[in-house]
Amino acid sequence: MKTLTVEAEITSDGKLRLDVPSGLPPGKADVVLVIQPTTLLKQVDTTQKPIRQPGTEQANGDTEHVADFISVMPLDLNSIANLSHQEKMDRIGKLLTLALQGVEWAEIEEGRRDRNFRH
Amino acid sequence: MIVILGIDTGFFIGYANQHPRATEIWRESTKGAHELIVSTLTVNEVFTYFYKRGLGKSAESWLLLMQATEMIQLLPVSIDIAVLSARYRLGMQLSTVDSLILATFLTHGCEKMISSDSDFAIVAQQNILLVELLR
Repeated sequence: MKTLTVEAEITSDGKLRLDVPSGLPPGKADVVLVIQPTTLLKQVDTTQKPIRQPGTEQANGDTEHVADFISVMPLDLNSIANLSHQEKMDRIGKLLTLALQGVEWAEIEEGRRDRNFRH
Repeated sequence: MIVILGIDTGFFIGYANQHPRATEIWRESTKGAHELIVSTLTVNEVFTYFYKRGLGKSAESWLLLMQATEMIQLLPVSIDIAVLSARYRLGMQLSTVDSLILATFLTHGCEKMISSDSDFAIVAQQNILLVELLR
């Protein structure tokens, strides 16, 4: 069995056209198709919505803004080196907001407890 | 004159949630008024929330930016810090993480620490380090 991900074409009469070498021997085969317009797929790929865990619903309210921001984030030291101090601080601040907006200090505090040592 | 500030995780939470004082300190730091000392233990705590929200790439960017910013120092737990922290852990009954963070700030000459952790109040009471608690 093989799983292939390809971009196919829907013709003007609505038919699916596939021209894909299967690499399998000649004969009949069962084929499973999942069809979704490419435009939608591209939206999913670029939006990068965060995976929400239970209890984090209040955070990340503006996911489109989040996606836009992440998509322009430099990911290597060379590109970061070209940023001014102000730009670095601004981006650090925005990323902190993504991570920590809606977080209560009590959550961190609970994780720091090791009271067994106390007298 | 640049003021060296020890920044605990609570400060970052305050900033992310528009705490006025945290915002003010961040703005001042942007203008070069403060050097910010941050323990790698705080990196651990912040990363946990990036991961919890599925923002691993953003976490990497955040860390790179923090490392590349001249006015921010990320400091790991050295042997000196581990040894010094034991004294404060026992003497002030701080948690392990709190004592390590305090020792980090003291070792690197912080003039004041910013935190949301009321357990650090004793640090100021005993004149070990100025503590500004974000409420």
